Amino acid sequence: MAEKRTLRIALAGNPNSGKTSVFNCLTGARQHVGNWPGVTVERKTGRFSHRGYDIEIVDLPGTYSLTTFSVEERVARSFIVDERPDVVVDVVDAGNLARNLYLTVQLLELGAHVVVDLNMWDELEASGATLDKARLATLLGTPVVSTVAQRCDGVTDLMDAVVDLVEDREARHRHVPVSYGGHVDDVVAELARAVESSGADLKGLPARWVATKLIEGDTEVAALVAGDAPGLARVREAASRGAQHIATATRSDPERVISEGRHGYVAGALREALTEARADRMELSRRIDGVFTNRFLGYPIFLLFMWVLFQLTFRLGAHPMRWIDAFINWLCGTVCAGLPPGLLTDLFVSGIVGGVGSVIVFLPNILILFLGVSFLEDSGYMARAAFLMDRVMHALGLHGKSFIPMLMGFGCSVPAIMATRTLESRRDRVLTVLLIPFMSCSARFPVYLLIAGAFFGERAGSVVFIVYLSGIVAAILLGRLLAKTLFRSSPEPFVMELPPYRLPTLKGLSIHMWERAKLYLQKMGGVILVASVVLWFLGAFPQAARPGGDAEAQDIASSYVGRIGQTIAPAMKPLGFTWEMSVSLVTGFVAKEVIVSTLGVLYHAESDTAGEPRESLARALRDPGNGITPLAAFAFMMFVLIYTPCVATVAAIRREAGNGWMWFSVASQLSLAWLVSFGVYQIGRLAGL
Amino acid sequence: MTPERTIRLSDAPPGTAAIVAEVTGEGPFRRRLLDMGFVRGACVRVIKAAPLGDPVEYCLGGTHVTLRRQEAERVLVAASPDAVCMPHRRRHLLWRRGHGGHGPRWLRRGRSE
Repeated sequence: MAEKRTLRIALAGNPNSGKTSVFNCLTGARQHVGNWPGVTVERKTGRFSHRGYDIEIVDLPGTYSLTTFSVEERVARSFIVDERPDVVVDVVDAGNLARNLYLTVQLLELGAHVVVDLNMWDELEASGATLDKARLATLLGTPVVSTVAQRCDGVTDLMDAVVDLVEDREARHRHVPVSYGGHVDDVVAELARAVESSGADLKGLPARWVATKLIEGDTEVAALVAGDAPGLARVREAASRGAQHIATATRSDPERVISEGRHGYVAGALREALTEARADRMELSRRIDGVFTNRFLGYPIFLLFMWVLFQLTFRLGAHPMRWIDAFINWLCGTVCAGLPPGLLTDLFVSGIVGGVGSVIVFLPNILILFLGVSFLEDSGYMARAAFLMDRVMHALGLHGKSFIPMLMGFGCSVPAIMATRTLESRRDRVLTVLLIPFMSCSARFPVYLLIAGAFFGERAGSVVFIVYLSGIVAAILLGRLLAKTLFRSSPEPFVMELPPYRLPTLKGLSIHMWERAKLYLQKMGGVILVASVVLWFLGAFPQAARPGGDAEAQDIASSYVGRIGQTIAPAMKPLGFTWEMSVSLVTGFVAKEVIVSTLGVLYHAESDTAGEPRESLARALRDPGNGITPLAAFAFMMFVLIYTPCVATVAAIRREAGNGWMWFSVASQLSLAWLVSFGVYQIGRLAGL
Repeated sequence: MTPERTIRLSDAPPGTAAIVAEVTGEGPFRRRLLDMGFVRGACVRVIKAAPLGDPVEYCLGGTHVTLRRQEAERVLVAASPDAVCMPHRRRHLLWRRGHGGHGPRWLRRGRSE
């Protein structure tokens, strides 16, 4: 028995081609989700073995092409060019061959060893079309297999084809050059010769591909032939001459001619191998869309779905959260009771157990939300939701798909930020992540409830409503501002596919859900845990000498957190905040609802009086001796709305948008919160409120 | 090639079919459209606009894609009343006109021209 050989294969394909299903079939739950180096584009890898090979599979981002215009296409292309996977499995939607094979042609031109996987083969058969796979394989010069990845049908054959290709490369891989038509072919061939003789370092790329890309004006490939050597200069000159020649000969531009050439090549192959469908697979979808994107019914149905998703995530999710809370309390009650009182116990109980609790408390939300989101995505409704909402979201400089993450922001920013993964372009994703914290999350609600209840009595409801509305307005203004400044580059066209409606599979949904939960626990849980312990430490140290009186309030006031709060208090003076309020804002970084308990401690609210701690705290806040005016209270609510979200959200932002944007978000929200509260308080005072 | 009268795809009314003549402009956007198959000679059918009027759903080579109006403005098409986009055309027209028993009447509201 020979030793185990290793293979590395890449999974390429259009969005909606069922690539993820193929990946799930091959790897099951043994997947590793990470990011591509330098960019927050998701990189999924998995391992399995087949016929004695140890196979590592890398899921490339779904793309329509291999240009350098989008991050996703650059990532996919540079993986194939630089890492040279043994085989590229190209997952093709069999119901949409013309567009999907366009990518295949580009993979072949790139000199990759491709196995074409005609996925969703059942849909092609059901439509009454017939496809001669052998004929197509000959025409493309590469193996062609068919699968139904939703049921994992044919996946073994696919892997057989991959191994066959590796073992018997020469026999199965015939190089068939794509023809772009007489003129263009001549120019490409001539340029390819010039490239070959130029001595340029092609990194193993086919000269013909380099020549084609030079004519297309590809910047990355142009960099290959940049330099002073005479051979390279000749290539550059030949390239521009060739492009000129094509432009005059075809009265068009080379980019278009080449693109049309590829489409034409695919169309030619399909004319020979495919007999057209009798039935339209979009027929049923069109009928469903007659309701779902109907002029009158579209929005009510959409809002209903959103309401259900929100309720499931945050209402239903609240129950397991309560159980987790109760369980942790019980754990503390039984375990901690046995421990001697002291610092270590305190660290264990408040720091670690509390920290772990603050990590897993988000888990129910995340699981339910992602179950819902993947259902919407896999069923095809997500694209319709984006279609309906794009008009609205585009006004904010966002994509229609941004709506769902933004809406979830009203529940909790952490799962909402994670949900931005559904957005294809990085620009939209980062912009959405930055705006989500302005959607006032449910943890901020207790603060509003307390403050508004204490100061505004009857009008509390309207005041809280104004706060929520302010958040939305702030998001709109900031979104427009950012879209016009930092994010002006390359607004993604809204060329979005509306895939046919499909029934999602339980397997697909649960893998997706599990993946998100794992990602959250692994990548964000640690950060949140450490941050919670650090914040606990800052709140517990240095230990106060307890001279009697309200020891708890003393503790907070003299702790590091208290000191930070008191240090920044002068800066908060112009906003009308007392130092107690400043301290509570610092502790609020753990989680916004902590503001309430901190205020309770600092204002000596008798939390033990029969279940109504809030009333006593509200009275304490209103006490004129404490010097909080209703205006200052309103400014405080605005500050709580806008300022840096909790540590878990910051961890999520870092994860999804990167370090730089995390700091940007922290800094911009802090300064914006200060400015807005300052404006509210000072203008209000001038107006005599 | 005969010069044809072209209109902007954004001006083509729902239900009509048209042949792509040109994608104007340059850069990533144009390239994306070319890659998606908006090339000369491709047949596009206008399905419908989103309820707020934008974006618009199109059928291109059997798949449904959406474009914002400002993007569709950059696609020039030759509107051709007798363009045959795909084999399903007839079926689709039947459905649009509301012939046959395609679901209850309320489903068809707003669809018939």
